[in-house]
Amino acid sequence: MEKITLELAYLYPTLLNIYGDKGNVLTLLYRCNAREIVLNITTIGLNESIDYERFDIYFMGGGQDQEQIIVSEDLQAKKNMIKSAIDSDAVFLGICGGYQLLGLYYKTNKGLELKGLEILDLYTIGGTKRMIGNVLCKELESNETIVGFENHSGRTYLGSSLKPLAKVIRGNGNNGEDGFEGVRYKNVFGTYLHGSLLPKNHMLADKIIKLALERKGFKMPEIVLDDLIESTAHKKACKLQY
Amino acid sequence: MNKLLFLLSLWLAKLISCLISILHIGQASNFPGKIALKIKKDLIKYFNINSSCKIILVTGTNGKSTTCGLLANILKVSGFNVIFNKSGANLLSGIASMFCHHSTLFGKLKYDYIVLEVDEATLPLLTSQIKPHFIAITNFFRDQLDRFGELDATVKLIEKGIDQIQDCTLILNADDYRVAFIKATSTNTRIYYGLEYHTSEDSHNKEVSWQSDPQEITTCPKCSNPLTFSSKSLAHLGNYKCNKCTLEKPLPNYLLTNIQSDHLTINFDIVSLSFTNNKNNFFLPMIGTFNLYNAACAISIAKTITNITNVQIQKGLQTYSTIFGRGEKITIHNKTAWIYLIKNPTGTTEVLRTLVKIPNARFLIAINDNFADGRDVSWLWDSRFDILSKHKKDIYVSGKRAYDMALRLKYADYDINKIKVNERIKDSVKEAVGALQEDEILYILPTYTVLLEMQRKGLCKNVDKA
Repeated sequence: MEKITLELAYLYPTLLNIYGDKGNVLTLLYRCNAREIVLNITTIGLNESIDYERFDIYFMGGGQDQEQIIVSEDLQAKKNMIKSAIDSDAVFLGICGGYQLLGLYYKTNKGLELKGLEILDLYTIGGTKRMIGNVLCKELESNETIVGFENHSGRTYLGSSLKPLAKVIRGNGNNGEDGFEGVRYKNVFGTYLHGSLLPKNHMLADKIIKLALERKGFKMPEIVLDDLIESTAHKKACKLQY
Repeated sequence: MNKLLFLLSLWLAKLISCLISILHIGQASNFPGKIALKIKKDLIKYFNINSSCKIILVTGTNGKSTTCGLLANILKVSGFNVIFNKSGANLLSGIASMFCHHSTLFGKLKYDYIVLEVDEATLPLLTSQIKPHFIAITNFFRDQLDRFGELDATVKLIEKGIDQIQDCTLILNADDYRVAFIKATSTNTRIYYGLEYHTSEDSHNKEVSWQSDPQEITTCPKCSNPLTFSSKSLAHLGNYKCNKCTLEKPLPNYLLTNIQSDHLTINFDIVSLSFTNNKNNFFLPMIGTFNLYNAACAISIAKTITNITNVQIQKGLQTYSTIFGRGEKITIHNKTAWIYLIKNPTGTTEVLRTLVKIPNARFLIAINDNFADGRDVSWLWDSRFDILSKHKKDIYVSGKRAYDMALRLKYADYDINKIKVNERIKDSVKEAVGALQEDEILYILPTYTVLLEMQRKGLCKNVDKA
């Protein structure tokens, strides 16, 4: 039987890779391989076009303001492709900068306004205080815990049509005000949590793989993985102080 | 009044320092200064330093401790009276502790040289209190972003620190563009050092791009366009220029060439107008390109501050006993182990790349997430632990974040049955040492606070001075 293949587009791996972002891609790769799914990874950088019909999963990490300025400009040329991908239910995981840039704009604390992809009705305002620490939250859809580390000065506000990814139990989340973290829309996941996110939240990694498979009409293979290290790391991280 | 408070704080620090050493409750490298600073927060300003004494500060992300250690050793073997802050006590509290310890009862410091490694964020706090004659900057890598926010912010802190003083000579790593083009007023003399490396960028990064070494973003400091590299020595250090504007790597005043290394040492020549000979060959009893940079920095400082001979430099390099945790040789239960501190992606990657070549090496990796380690462990995912994926033996994993480390190894395709987790460092060291075969050497890679814990628990008491 031929193996199932998934295609992942890794957006700006050299520009947006500030907090162990590639750990998320490594996790997807490992957990696909363990289930005998082939995961092909294609990097997409500046001035490179995206064939939106080809990719099942998109990943975009975070960077410093200067890199985000460069990416913000470049993304305008990719906007239609990414929008088509998201509209056709491709899975998209955006972390920190990758999350902010899915929205309308990011206004830095120096007053510079970076244009977003304008796919999600959310915006970000740069604050003067950085929100730094271990976060514990609960995913709204599943009520499962999600752990991660946040380090951002941007405060993100969701429009009324959007749902957050999780409810914050410990930490600041989107803006430190409304008690929610991230965004969840179609098959899009946006979040401030890195550290890396997916290795320690393997349920979320599996959910991403499952959504990508189902979109192509496949079922998640019924192979049980040994997740002792993952679940122990997750449980330990749940107890970390902010 | 100021003077009185200063003396009170100094005496208290000296008293605490005495008590710590009498009661054997650890090193007095931070605590006495911390208390003294509570009484007099600008304490450092009030020390009476003799006017002929030269103060040298070393800052940057990696290599501060080793550079200071090498420099102090070169100066010592040359007959100078030198003090420096050991054990990486590089915050104000550490520097205050050291000043209090070495001064007379009335705060007089009489030395030829004071060599200080200074934490990046501490530099502006320090230069507002004492005037250094020389500041050396080693490199800028991402490190402890949970503390500093972003790398650009770290660079700005250093620029602020330099801005507060005039007529100071800067000794700069030419190979790191952020260091070489650090903003400073023109009254500061700039001295550059660098390596001549012929490994091309490709041979270093053959792997798939997204899995390659941790890289900093390399954009031109003048025009923000991407820099191009004709060669790289490690990470983003190398020969760079901007194709859009005229910016290129400054010509080093001290250039290390003909670099040849084996398991134990590195041989190199130095080309410089400061040397009278044409050929200046040295060897460094350490491994890793990162240590070669440290030696390059130390030698450049030594040559800049005083007329030192090649023999003195070589003697300094040769007799240098590695400092706390930076390639420190220890003996545990009659077995040999080496400790290499790890703390950020590039440093870790270079340590792994160097150690994995050693036959019969075995590994223990211990990760904590206390403030001094960096509370965010995401740097583990940027470090190239996949370098160990072909290692055949068990790897011992310890520390508060042992499971995160175990997971990192698992996703680097390391066989999970060969990952031995024990969060307690003492037990983990015992297990790892117990499993050593006759001809095997244990390499312990701890983060900073694990190292402190190992020392507290007497695990690295038997420092091999040989």
